Amino acid sequence: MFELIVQVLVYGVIIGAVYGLATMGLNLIWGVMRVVNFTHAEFLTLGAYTAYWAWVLIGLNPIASIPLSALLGFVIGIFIFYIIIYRLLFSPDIHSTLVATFALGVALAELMKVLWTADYRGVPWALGVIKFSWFSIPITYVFTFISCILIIIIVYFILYRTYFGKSIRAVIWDSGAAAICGVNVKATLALGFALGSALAFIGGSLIVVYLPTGINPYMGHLYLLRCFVIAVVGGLGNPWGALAGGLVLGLLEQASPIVLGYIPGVEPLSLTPFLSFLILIIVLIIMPGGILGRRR
Amino acid sequence: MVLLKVENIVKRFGGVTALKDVSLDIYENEILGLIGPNGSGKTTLVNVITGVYAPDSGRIIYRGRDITRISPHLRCRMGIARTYQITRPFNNLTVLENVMVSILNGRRYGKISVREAKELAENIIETVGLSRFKESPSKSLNAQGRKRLEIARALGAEPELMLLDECLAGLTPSEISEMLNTIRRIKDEKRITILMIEHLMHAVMNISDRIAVLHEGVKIAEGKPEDIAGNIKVAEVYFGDRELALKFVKR
Amino acid sequence: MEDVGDAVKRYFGFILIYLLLILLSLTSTAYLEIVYYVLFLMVISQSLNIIMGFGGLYNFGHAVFIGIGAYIFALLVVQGLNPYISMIAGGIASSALAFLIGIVVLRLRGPFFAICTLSTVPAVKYLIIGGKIAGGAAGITLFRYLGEAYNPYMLTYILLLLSVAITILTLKISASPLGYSLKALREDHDVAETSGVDTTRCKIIAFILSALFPGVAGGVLAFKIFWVMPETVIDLTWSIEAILIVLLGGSGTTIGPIIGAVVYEVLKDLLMRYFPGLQLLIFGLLVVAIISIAPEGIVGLLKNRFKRLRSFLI
Repeated sequence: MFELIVQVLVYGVIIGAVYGLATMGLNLIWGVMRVVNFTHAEFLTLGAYTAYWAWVLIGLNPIASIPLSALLGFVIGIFIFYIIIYRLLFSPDIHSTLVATFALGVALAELMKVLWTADYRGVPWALGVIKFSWFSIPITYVFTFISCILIIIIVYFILYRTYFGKSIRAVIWDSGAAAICGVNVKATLALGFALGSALAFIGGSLIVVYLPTGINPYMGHLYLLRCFVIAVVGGLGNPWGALAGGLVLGLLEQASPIVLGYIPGVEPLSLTPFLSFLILIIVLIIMPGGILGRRR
Repeated sequence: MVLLKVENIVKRFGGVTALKDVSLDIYENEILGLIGPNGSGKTTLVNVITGVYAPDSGRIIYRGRDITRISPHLRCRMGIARTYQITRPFNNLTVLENVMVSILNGRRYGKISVREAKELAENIIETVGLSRFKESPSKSLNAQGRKRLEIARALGAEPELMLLDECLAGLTPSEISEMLNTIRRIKDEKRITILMIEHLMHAVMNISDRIAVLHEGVKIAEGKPEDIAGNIKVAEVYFGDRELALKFVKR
Repeated sequence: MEDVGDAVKRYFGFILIYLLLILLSLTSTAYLEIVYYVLFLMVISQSLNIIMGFGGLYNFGHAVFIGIGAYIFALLVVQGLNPYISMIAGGIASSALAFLIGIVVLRLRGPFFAICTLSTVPAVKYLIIGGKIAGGAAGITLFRYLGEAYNPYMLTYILLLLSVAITILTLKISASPLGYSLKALREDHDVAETSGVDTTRCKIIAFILSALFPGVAGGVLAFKIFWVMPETVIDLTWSIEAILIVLLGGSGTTIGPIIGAVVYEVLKDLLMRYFPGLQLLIFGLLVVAIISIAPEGIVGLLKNRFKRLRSFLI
């Protein structure tokens, strides 16, 4: 029993941290400009493909391709912001950005299918395992986790120690006041979106480590529900909320199949996403701000 | 008789207490002016009366009935209507449709047909002088038009009590006197009680039967316009300086 | 009082399109198929329009109603119940589900509502597969029970009937107090409340009404494909297509989704012929374009350009 709990905890935290990182971008973008970025799923997918092509063409492992993903994500984020998002921010219909990002996501997924086919691909990066007395962890997972922590520290540094980060936090808190204090709100929004997008790309690259064969244009959909659950549970406006939510979901996903396995006549692996959805609903109803979100 | 009784209302937002134990009586058929510096809690009070905010403590009593727990739409149907300081028309609906919404959902809810509502709406629109624009989308109205639409929409609900939130802001002097005339007419012809939040001193002093003054969430004075005008505390709150206030009041 | 001329203008567009569809369906079996799809899309878009166009609530989970209708249909048919009654039962079940989901989810605003409803689609799918409900991933096959009764014309005309029913319902709602209340709460929820609109009640009614028809259509779908599985009847694609069609045609208008469905199907066929494999890509970009440039859809564009057409396009 004890062994099981430790195993669940370890895997839950390791995987959950990456989930959290992958979702931080979503929370950030919402916090900065009140936009739910439905393209997030495709950003994750693009990040995964970046890791794939880096592996196949240059021989970079997913962790080494992080700078590449970050850069790509950043540039694409800026591009999308200026062409599509900015003009919709002021539209009277609050759903404009929602529908636009969703449609853009669909278009991007299809673009990927056209370019790279719907075949499943994988990055078989394996370095062996660390053996404990009753379970083992792949070394790649540990490295991924460590990189995750490092990136989170970097994000913290950016948000709390640089002017750019402070202006983002100011805009999150009160964009009008920020503007009066001389913050270039439009540029800040753009950079905020780009940072969110870069984080999504990085998240996608790291997730590749956990699915050796699962890269395909539609993988984003699998993670969309997960990311929403994480984002909402953790608190939409708060990037650290994504982390909290990620850990919660990571642990849930590890623990739930085992617990559900005790219920006869049920398929634990498919029922787990349903459980996470229930949590999403409950949180949305009771605590719309999430665990760490601000109460509005 | 007392139409609406605000009883010991406290409203907090996080660390800020917007209303600190505010009590107020509004008498039937009067125009009560509600004045006070910006941020004193006037709009918050209106929001509590209409049910948009639930108070942290205290009660709202309408015609002797405790309505503190009653939802906003039911309060409207009971006879409480309001206008908004920053105008909020139903943008993509025409002026006519805007007014029809409150007619169909106000005091006559369930008892009036769409056709009858349309006729009534046309009359109300005539009263506020917007007949020319009745088929225009409300988002195309200018500032004065929007203010008038706010009033028309509030009238549509056939209220007994109308809460006007700075309906004169942004209007030119001639528009202001037109609006004041409209308000007087509403009070006389339709026997509607009015609570008026206003910043324009001469307007509100002129038209109100009584005045209440809020400052930082506290009611600091209440009485006839002449009394309020001569009230040192009120003057001090506006001038921010006791000396100046004394000099002003002495006049 | 409107005169006969106005009445004719108002219904002209609908009658024209329906007649065309009927004629097309009789020309060949290939066209019958196409008309079937167009009508299916019409039914799900027109019904979505009630909650999205009038109420301003973007229900990304609309596809779930189709799925539930299909499942209830299948479960009843397997028990020996008449298929047409089973279809109606599917619609009722779907409305009941809408009520249950609605009381929980309708209090959410804007993007939260969208996220929640979007998530219901995979959630229901996983629930059925994971809970091994109604056959789980394998589903229910209907060959044995329905094989002989299959009649493509019947199915197509049932959809036609549904579409006509929704059209009449939408016209009625639009001119009723409910319609005014919905449009008001769409424009400004809080102001609607203080103007007397019982927003909760209106939203739930609209939601239930929007679920009824896709529920019946789900039964039609099940009848057509003979095999009800989570993968085939609970498909997010329909939610997306419905939203696209409502936006394309003109959200909040009655004839909008009808025009939108026809245009969409035509576009889809053209794209399939000349740019196969790129359809979704182009549609995705199309939606972005619509939202940015012409949020009022085809009906809005036509009304602005051709003032004469105003009375035809409601």
